Amino acid sequence: MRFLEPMAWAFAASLVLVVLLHLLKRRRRNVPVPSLVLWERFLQDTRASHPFQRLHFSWLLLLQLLALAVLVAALARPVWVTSVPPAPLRVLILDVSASMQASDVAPSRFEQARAQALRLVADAAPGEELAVIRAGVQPQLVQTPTRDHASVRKVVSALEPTDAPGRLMPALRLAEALVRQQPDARIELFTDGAAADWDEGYASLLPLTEHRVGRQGENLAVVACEVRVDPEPPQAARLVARVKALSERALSALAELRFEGELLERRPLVLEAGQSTTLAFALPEARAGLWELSLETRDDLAVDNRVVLPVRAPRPVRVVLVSPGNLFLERALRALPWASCVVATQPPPDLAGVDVLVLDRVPLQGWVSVPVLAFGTWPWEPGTDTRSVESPTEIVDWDPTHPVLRHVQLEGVHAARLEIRPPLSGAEVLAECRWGPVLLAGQRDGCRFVWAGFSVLDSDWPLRVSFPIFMANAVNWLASDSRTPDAVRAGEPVSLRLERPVWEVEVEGPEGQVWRWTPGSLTDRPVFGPPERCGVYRFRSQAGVSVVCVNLLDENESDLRARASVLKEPERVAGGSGTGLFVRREFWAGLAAIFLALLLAEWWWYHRRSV
Amino acid sequence: MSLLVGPELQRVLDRLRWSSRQWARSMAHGEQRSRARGHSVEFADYRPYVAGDDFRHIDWNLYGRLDRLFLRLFEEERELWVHVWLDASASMRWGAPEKFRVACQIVAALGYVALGSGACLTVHVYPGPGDRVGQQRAAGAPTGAAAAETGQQFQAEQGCEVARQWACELGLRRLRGRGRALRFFRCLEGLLPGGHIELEPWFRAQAAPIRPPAVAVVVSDFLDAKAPTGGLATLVARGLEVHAVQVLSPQEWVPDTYGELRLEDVETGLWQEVTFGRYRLKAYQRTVQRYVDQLREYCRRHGTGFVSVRSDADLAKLLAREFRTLGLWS
Repeated sequence: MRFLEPMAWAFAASLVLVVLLHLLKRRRRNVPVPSLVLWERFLQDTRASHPFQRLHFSWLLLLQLLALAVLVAALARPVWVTSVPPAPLRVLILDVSASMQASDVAPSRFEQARAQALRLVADAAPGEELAVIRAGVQPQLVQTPTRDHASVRKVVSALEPTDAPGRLMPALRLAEALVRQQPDARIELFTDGAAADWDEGYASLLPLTEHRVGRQGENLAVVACEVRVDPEPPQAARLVARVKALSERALSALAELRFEGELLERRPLVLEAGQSTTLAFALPEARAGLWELSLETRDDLAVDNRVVLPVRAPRPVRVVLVSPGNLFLERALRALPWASCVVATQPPPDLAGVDVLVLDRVPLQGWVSVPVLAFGTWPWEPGTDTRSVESPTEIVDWDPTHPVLRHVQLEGVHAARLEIRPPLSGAEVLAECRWGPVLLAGQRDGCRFVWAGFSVLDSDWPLRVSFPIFMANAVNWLASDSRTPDAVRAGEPVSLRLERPVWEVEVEGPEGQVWRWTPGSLTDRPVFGPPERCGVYRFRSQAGVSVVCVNLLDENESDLRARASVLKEPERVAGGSGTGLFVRREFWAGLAAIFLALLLAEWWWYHRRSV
Repeated sequence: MSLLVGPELQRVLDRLRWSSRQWARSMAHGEQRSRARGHSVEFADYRPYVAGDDFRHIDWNLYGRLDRLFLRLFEEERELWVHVWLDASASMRWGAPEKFRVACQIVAALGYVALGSGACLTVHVYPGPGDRVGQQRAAGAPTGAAAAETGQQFQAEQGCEVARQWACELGLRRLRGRGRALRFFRCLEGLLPGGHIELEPWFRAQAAPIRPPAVAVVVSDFLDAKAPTGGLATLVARGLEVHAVQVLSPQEWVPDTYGELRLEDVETGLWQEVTFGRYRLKAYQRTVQRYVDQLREYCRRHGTGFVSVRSDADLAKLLAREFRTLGLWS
C-alpha cells in the first residue's frame, strides 16, 4: 500500500486534540429545583419520540453540514486543472566513463564535471526542472525531471566514474526524448569528449551545451593484451601486449609481469609521443592462475595501466561427429591438435561435456544446447525454407572478416548439390553462390551454429587447403561459445557457460565485495553485467567457479589528449512559445484543515451556548 | 389588615360574593341565601295553593283581591362547606415571589370571600406539620460538632414548631363568618412549607369525612412526580365541586440557570443531569405549557375548574378575572 500524500498523516495530530477535548472534565453545577417533573418531561420531549421532526434552523446544524460537506469534498480529492507555462527543463548528462578518472585536472575530470553540474543546479531558477542522466555503458535516467533541486544535488553527488568506456549517443538520445516537446529545454553535457561514439552531426541538432572538462592528459596505456597457450606439451605460453603513449611527449614506464602476485619479469619502457610498442613475454610453462601486466609510470589515468588475464590449463575441445560416414570430416577434425573427436551415426542423447556437435547430413531431434556445425541438410527444421539446387554451383562471394573464414579462400569451390536458405535473423551470411546463401553462421537458441548448404562429399572443397583451415576456425569459434570467456573488456557483458542450470550465482567483485546475483531464470548460460569495474570477477554456483577478468583495453578511452569541441552555442528560443502543461493541483489537505476548524468551531459553539 | 390581604385587595374581595352551584344542594341551614325555597324572612315568589300546603303561608290579602288562594314563598338560607387544600410541600417554598406565599394569598382571598358569603371554611394543609417542620429544620440545621452540641435544643425547637403548626392548622378548621377572617389570616401566615407526602392516600383519608355538597379548591403547583392529579381525582370521586389553582413561579417558566447542571429535587432528593442552554429554552417552555395544558384538559374532562397562575402575577386582577371564570364568586 502506498500513499499519494503521506504528509496527510500530520492530521493524525487531530486525534490527540479530540482525546484532549474529551479529557476536559465536564463540571456540573448542583442546582436545587422544586421538582424534576418538568425537567424529566422536557428531557423526554427532546428525546426522539418520533423518527422525524420538522427541520429547524440551527447554527450547529449549519456547522455540521458545512464540516461534512468539506470532508466529502476532501475525500473526493478535488484538483485544480490549470494550464501553466512549461517550466524550463535542463537535462544534465554526466559522462562516467573511465577517462573521466583522469587526474590531469585536480582532483579529476569527473570531480570537475560534478562541481560544474552542482554549480548549475545551484544557479537554476526555483521553478526550473532538472533531470540527470548517467552516461555509462548504458544510459541511465538517475533523476527524472523534478523541481526538487535538493534531490538533484543528492543524485549528482552520489555519482561515481566507472572503469568502462563511455557511450554518449544513447544518453543523448534519451535526453532528446525528454526535451523533444519542450522548446525551452536544454541539455547540459559534462564530458571530456573521449567517447568513441560521439556524433557531432547529431549533437549539433540538439539544444546541447557541452561542458568540456580536462586538459592535455598524458597517458601510457596497455591497449591490447592476450595470453596464448601452446596446446602441445610442454604447453608454453606467450603473453603479448601492446602499449601506447597517448601523449604529446615521450613517456617512460616499467612493465612488470606478475603471476599470482609474484613478480616474474620487469622491463623498462620508453615511448615517444604517440608511439606504441608490443611487449611479448615468453613463458616456458603456462601455469594456471592470474597473470598480471602492469605499467609503473606517472600518467594521468591508472585504470589502463594494469591488465589481468587468467590462464587455464588447456583442455581439448570435445567434438562429436554425427555422420553416416565422411572420411574428410573425420580426418579434418582429428587433425586438430587441441580437439578430440568422437564419431557417431546418431546424435548422442547426453551432450554434457560436448563442446561442438558436427552434423553431416543428419537432422536434429529436439533442442540441443551445444554449438552445431552442420553440413548438407538444415538440421533443425529440414525441408522448410530451403531450396535445392541440383546443378554444380560455384561459391562466388564470402566474408573473409568473419572469424570462421579467416584465412579461408573459397574461390573455385564447387558443389554438385546444395541447399539454398534465405538469411535468418541472428545469422550472418558467410558465403553465397549465385542462387543465394550457402554458408551461414550465427546464434540459435542461445548457441552458435555454422551451416554449410552442401555436403563435403558433393563438393571439391575437401581437396583444397582452405577446408582444414575452415574446420579449425569453425570448431575454434564454436568451442569458444561453449566456455566462459577468460577475459572481457569493461562494459561488455559476461556470458557464463555453466555445467548445469542454476538459479543463483554468487559474485565476488574486484574489491572483494560479494553479492548474490539472480539471472532471472533457471539457465546454464546466464549473462552478467556489463561490468563497469576492472578487475577479477569470480562466479560461484553449484556448477562450479568461473573466473573472468575485466580490463579496459580501449585505446580511444585511454586517449586523454585534448579534443576540441566543434559544437556551437545553440540559439536561445524565446520563452512562452511552447505548449502549456496541464497541471493538476490537489487541495484536499486544505479542505481537511477547514473540516478540522469547522469541527472545533462546532464544538466551541455547542459548549458556548450551553452556558 | 393582614400581610396576605392588603387593603386594596380587601376592597376588591369585599365586592365579591361566593357563588356556587352547590348552594342549592346544601341541606344545612345557614346564613346564606339560596335558590331553594324555605322559611327565611326573604320573600321570594308566589305559587298557587295546592291541597296539603301549609295554611300559614297563604296570602290572604291576595285572596281578598283575586278570590284565589296563593302561597307566599320565602328563600331558604343554607350553609355551604368550602374546603381549601393548600399545598405546603417543599416545592412550594420556591420561586421569587415564593409560590407558597402567593398560594397563601390566594387561599386567604378565597377564605375571605367564603367567610363573607356565609360558608363554612376549612383549610387542609399538606403535608402534615411533622413532615413540614422536620424537613425545613433539617435544611437549616447545623452540622458536625455544632449539631451535637445543639441537638437537644434543636429537638426542643422542632417540637415547639410542630405544635405551632398544629395550632395554625386547627385555626383553619370550620371557620364561619367574616369575624373569623383575622384569625384565619394569622393562621395562614403562621404556616411553614416543607416536606413531601404521597398525595393520593393523604387526600383519600382527608376527603373521607367530607360529604357533598361542598366546594373543594386545591391550591398547589401540581408538580408531584407520581400522581399530580391524584388528589383531584379523589375529590372528584367524592362528588365535590372541585377547583384547581396551580401556582408556578416565574423561574419554573423561564429557568435562569444554564450549562451543565445537576438538578436536585428538593422534595425527593432525586437528581437529574441536564445540559441546558438558552437554545433549549423554547423547548422547555413548550414542555411546561404542554404540562399545564394537560392539567387543564384533565380538569375539563372531570368537570373541574382550573386556573394556572404565576407567582408574580397581579393578584387583584387575577382574583377578579380568572377566578370569576371558575364560577367561584360573582
